[in-house]
Amino acid sequence: MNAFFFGRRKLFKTLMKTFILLFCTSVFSFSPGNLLSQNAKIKFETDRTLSIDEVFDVIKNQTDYTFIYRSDLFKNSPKIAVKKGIVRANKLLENSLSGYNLKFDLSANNTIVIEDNQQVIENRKPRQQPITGKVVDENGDPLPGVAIILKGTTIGTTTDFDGNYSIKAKSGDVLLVTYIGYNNQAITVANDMVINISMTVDLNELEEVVISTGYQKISKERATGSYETVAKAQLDKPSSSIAERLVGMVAGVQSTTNADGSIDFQIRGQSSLFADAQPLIVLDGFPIEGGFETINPNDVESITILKDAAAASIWGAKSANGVIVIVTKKAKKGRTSVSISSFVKTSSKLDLDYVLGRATAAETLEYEQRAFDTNFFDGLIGSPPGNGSNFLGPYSQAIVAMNEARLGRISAGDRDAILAQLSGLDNTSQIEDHLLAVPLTKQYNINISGGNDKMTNSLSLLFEDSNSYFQGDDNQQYLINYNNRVQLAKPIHFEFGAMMQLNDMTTNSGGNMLSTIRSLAPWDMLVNQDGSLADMSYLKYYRPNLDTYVPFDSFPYADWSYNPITEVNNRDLNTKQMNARVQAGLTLDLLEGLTVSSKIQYELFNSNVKNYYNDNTFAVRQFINETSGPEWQSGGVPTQLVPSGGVLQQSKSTVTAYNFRNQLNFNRIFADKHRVDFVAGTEISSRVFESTNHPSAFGYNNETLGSSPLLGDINTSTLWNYYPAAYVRYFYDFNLSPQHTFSESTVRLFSMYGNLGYTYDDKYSVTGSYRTDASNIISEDPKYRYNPFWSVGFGWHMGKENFMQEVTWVDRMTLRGTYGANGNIDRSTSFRPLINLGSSLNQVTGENTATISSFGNPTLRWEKTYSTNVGVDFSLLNRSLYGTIDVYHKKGIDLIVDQSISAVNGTTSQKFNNGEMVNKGFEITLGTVLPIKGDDFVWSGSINYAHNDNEITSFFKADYQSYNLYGGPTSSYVEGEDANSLWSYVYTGLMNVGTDANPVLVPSVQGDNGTQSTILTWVAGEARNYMENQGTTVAPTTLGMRNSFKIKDFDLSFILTAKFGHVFRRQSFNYSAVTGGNTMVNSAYSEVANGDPSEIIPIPDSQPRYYFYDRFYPYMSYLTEDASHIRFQEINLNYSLPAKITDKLGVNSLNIFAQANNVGTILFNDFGEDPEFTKQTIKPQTSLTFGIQLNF
Amino acid sequence: MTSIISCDSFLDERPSKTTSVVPETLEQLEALLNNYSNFINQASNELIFGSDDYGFNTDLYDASTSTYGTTEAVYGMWDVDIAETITSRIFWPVEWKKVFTANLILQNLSSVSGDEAKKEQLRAECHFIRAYSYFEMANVFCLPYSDATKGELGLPIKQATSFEENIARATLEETYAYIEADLQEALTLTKTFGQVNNLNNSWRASTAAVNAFAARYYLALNDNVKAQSYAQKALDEYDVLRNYNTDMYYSTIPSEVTIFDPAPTQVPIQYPYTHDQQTVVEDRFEFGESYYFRQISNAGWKYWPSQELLDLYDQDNDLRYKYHVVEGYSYDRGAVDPAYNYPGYIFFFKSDIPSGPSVSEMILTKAEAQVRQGAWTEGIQTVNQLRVARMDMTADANVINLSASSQEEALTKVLEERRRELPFSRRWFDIRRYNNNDTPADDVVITRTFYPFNANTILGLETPQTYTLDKNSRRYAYPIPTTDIIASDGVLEQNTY
Repeated sequence: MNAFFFGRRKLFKTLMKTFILLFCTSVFSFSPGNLLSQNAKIKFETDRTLSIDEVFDVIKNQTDYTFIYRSDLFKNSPKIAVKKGIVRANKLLENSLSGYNLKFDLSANNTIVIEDNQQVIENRKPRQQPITGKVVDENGDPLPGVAIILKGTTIGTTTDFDGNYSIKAKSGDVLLVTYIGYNNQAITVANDMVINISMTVDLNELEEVVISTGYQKISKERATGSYETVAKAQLDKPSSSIAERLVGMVAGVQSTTNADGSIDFQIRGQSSLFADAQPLIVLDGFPIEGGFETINPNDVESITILKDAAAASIWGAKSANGVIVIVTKKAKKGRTSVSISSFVKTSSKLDLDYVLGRATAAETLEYEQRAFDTNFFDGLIGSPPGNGSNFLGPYSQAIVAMNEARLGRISAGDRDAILAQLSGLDNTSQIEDHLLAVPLTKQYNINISGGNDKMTNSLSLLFEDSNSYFQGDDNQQYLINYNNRVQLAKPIHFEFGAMMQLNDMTTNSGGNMLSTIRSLAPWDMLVNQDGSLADMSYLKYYRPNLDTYVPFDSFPYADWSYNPITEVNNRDLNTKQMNARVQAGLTLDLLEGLTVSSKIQYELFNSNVKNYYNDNTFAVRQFINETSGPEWQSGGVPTQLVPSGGVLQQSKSTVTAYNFRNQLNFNRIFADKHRVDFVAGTEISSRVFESTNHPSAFGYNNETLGSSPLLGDINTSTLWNYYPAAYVRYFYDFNLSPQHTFSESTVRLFSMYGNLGYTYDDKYSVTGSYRTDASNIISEDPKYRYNPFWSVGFGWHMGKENFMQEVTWVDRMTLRGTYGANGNIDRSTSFRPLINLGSSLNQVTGENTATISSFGNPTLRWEKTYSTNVGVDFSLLNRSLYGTIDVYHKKGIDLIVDQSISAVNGTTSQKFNNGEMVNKGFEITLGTVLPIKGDDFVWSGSINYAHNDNEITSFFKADYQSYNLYGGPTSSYVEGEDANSLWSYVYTGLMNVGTDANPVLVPSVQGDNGTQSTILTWVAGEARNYMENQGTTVAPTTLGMRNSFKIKDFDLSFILTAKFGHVFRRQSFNYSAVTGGNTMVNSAYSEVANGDPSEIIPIPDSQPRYYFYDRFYPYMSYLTEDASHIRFQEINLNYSLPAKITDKLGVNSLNIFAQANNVGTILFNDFGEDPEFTKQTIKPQTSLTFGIQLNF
Repeated sequence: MTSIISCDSFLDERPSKTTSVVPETLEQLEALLNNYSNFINQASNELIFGSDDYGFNTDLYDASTSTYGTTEAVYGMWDVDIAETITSRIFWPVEWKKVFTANLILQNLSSVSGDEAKKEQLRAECHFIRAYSYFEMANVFCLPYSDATKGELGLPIKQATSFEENIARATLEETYAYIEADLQEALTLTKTFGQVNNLNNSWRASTAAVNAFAARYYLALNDNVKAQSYAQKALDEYDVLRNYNTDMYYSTIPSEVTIFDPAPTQVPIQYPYTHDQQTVVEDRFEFGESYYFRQISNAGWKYWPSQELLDLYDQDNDLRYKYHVVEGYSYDRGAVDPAYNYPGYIFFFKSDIPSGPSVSEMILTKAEAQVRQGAWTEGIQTVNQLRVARMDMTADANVINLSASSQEEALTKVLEERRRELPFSRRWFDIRRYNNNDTPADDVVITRTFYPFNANTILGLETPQTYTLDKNSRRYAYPIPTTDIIASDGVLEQNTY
């Protein structure tokens, strides 16, 4: 009896049966790969190395199967390594036993008998020779514990720590290489003594997905909520911010890229009306300051999106907008690995035609001539400049010529010559050459990790150097991350992580270069023909009057010239951010499955702004000159107030935040079938924001660091135009205020939470969560302060039911349902009437002053969003098709809204928790992995589709004016409508406001009750009645698609996103006022000049109230267009050097990649306008990235 | 659970130290009162355009249509139907915010730290602020107070900051009783009219300010005895007048407009120096005649004096005409091509005229009360104290000084002087009381001729019409904004016409 190993302890009871069965078993041919039920699965809690005997042990413990075989049968067999996770029992057996010449018998009660098919050949023939080699993964990282067996024998070995192996074999023998999670390989031994082997990942085996909620990691199988993870392959692509990697990847996560490259996300529609609408970003368990920008994209291991109540409600009062949980890579035990990557990203310069969207010089001239001929449209706000020292305001060069001729200072001939010359000029290429730059981003990253059984460490260093579309702007980022994990004693381990970031940002373009460029007329040339910089002071002054009346030489600076290039070159505008984050945690294993952990995060974010302008800048010269006294007007010398020299402005801000969390974790399986996962804990957090503005330093010299006090008393001094010196803040970018100003705010939270998951027999899961958040910014009334958030959910793993065993084309099928509440914060309101104390004394009275900042909302509480989610996850035909379908209904109640109340209460609107909003939608994600030609050609693709409908269901506002509605959110919120509705005026052509005999025609729009109303005054009545709701500006339908083709060593992938069903306003002609500098006539001029006045507002001929046009023309219904579009986000081509070459180079792997972003767009409007980057805004150019990644 | 209790102190941290704080000290409450910008503006278009000081001139409109807007027309023709729908009526909400601020301070006084005696002063000041706002609003939104109108609609009685308090309108009698009660509390204030930062502290209440307001209040109720008594108390404490001969001058900032007549011509416009500063208020506090500084504001920057008002001035010798009636102001407002010359009334910048109780108002109140009580020769002497500071000192004495030969004539002279001195700001209040006293001689029926208009536009091509406001018209009470009636869920009632 001892010769047999029995899997069950009830040895004697089963002994007889077994003997009988041995003889009764019919002779079927079983292989290890089809012995067991298709759905029998084995879970490994940790990475392990097992003998084959132990493999049988595990299988019998987790399934109903029992094994009988001779106890020495696998005595010489190699051990096999298994990874943490879930694997099919068949696969495990196949990996463990393939290559052995064995016979299997399966009995009716799931007992398997294994026998040798033939005598093991103990003595090998003399031609055997030692073969050595190394086994690596796709990245070239060595794989320890890979089993290598001589086919047809039980002889084998496993690879060591560094992936090396050694085995004796003869030519013609077949080596079977197996490793869980990877495709098996059979290699025939030839004459080579060294055989290196590269293993490829078995895509079919990647079933176990672990999701992270920030508080715990759980198997997606057992989770009931709507969680979604981002594909690993996607995270590994090059990016400056990990946010870029989320675009188009997850159903229901709508992304909008801003002009500066930052990305806003909205998860399942807008959840709040006035409060913060951004999802919560969690890094390694804690919400962080600074968001995506403080995370090294190369360090990210996984991203989980928490979409529904069950997923997110553990985050309580911060979770209504969804949660994005990011987990960074941790070092693995084993040899030190080093990863180096670098890329360069660039694109062409801005497309000025699109970004400026301006009319041609000839068109601009035509418009200005028209305005001048009608006396500036008879306008009150513009009377043509006269001849005197008080007419110094700038006008277009063309207007100046026309006006000088009118004033008789130049002849009509001179004027015509000037106008002819201007209309022939175009400064586009000068702007490109002198003000625009080629955007270039260079990133270098090193990641070093390694460790032993006691301790693991990883360190990453990132340096990124980038510059923007404008000359003078660049940004250097240094980011260091360190992670450490130590096993202090058997039951205690300690984790430590630290982040340090330095951002050095220079914005010498002034941060608003686009508006500077936009203020140039096409004929305003930056550079003279001889290459010298042009004096463009006509952009600042009415030059003929300046020359005539202002004695330049009596001012501190005789040079009054201006040129934007000079400005860029002579200022040093710098912001330095020094950010640090430390996370530490201690985990104590108490009992089997029970741990206690204590974690803390501390963050310190500093930002220092230092803006220096030297006195070569026009800004400084102008400031010093114009703050000198008015004596020049009567022939005297102006009294200088501000000392000559540069100006230095400084300010700083600091955020100090901490979280402290104590948590109990319990994960255990009872009696094989009852699985419990439980966490509970408490947490406190605090965030303090402080900022300081320093008074400016004058007469400052960057070299000597000297500065000077003001030369006069600011309270009695007078500016060059007789105004008091205290007025400078109305006229200039510089301030004379001698005071420092300070501000400080604190948010504190105390929270308790718990989350329980119970799974029975791997088939049925029930989950529940509870959280309460109390804060110093919420009512003290405990009824509101401790108002809880909670969720319940169930999951049914239908695929594991017996009746599904027959349905072989279903790999997996899970039904889920959840319900619960999430919260949101609005920091702008308060439960008690509050006052703002002035940060400085009143300039007139020298007294402290205060204003009422809040009228009080005694029942202020968290906003709550109740969501219901029903979903199904499935995998069919060996993952030829897998996917997820979710349907949800989110109802926000107690939303904070700015509601109308009677003015008698002291205010006409007050924020109350009275709003309600519903988001309904569904999401479908489908994916496939199709090996078209073995491992050489594999297509994997995924597509996600999401639809969301939003409606404000409760919102009270007494009445709406047109400007409320066209103002967009938040003033346009209307009960019963989508929160992002686009409201427009309906144009009704020209209206006769005169008499029949004496007609006066004025453009009009639809008014209340079918009336017509001119665009010269506000339309009377309720705006909802006469304006038209033309649809939502946020796409209800979004689509994301990712396809990837693996062709031998090449990987080609592309991403496509699409948005449908929304609207946007295209560029309107700007009916620009001709006063106050250049006219800035835009490219829609011809549309109006040639338009039908009954279809589009015409250019006024004579209309003193034309200044009222700007309340109408941008908001006409004829400007609204379909915003649907399809965007080719990204194409990526990656080449991995074959192992043969990398070995010679002495590295594990080497990848070279090229990537293109913003490749193209398909638009659904006739005007060539990108709905997300409308004309006259910065539209990202197609960018190209080239990079290399090296592991050794 | 113990952690919850211990956590309450953790959560007691104030969210902010400067912005959004719960008032904890008397100084913080006082800082609210120091913030004059929350109190000094009285943006009532109703009383600016409603009175016969405001001129409607079709020729001016013809020259430039931007010289009048529908706002001027609606209030100027007392069109209550359109007026109630106008949404930019900031007078109503701004006055209620002042009441809220007063109530907020009154509510917090007992819980903040600070000197008890000073708390009493602040308490009295808050009652003053409340009484002042109620009185001003009652004069715009309610009928004049008399035995006949006691039961008419008054104002809601708001005594606390709570949004739960009933906001239905009380009767006019209850409203005036509430004002009277607040006024009596306010009269307990014992604070001398001092200086802060070399400026008269006229943005804060003082005994003199409260007495001056009491004089205004009792004059409105035709109680001449009390009006004179309180006016005298105010004058006893402070009676400094700015002498226009020495203390008033033209702006030194040159201002020119190019008109086309038809050739381009430069026209200089001479403003008083008080026109120079748009938002900085030093000049206003420095002016020094207000006991309590308030100002009416006209967002359209157009105070067109009526011909009737212009005719009241001695254009050669009255320095108020010289400095405040600015020739060619219509050019500045756009009537340049064709050019049309019409003067504008300018006090502080283009928009503001002082309206709080002032030394000149007290002199005029005292004089009027004296005349109405029969002491008309004393009344004339009283009014001449003001004339000295306003008339060109080189003029003949009989030009500078008024004289009268009967009580009726004295009353007429005093009331004319009052109109010259306090145009736009007091006229609406005055007409209301003239029409409700026992003296028929001072009654006023306003008539004016102007183009028809609707809510959107003035119909400048149609024939001008005549508009009349009868002596006892119910349109002396302007409607409260419809939006507020909706916002109150119908709890607020509208005036009936």
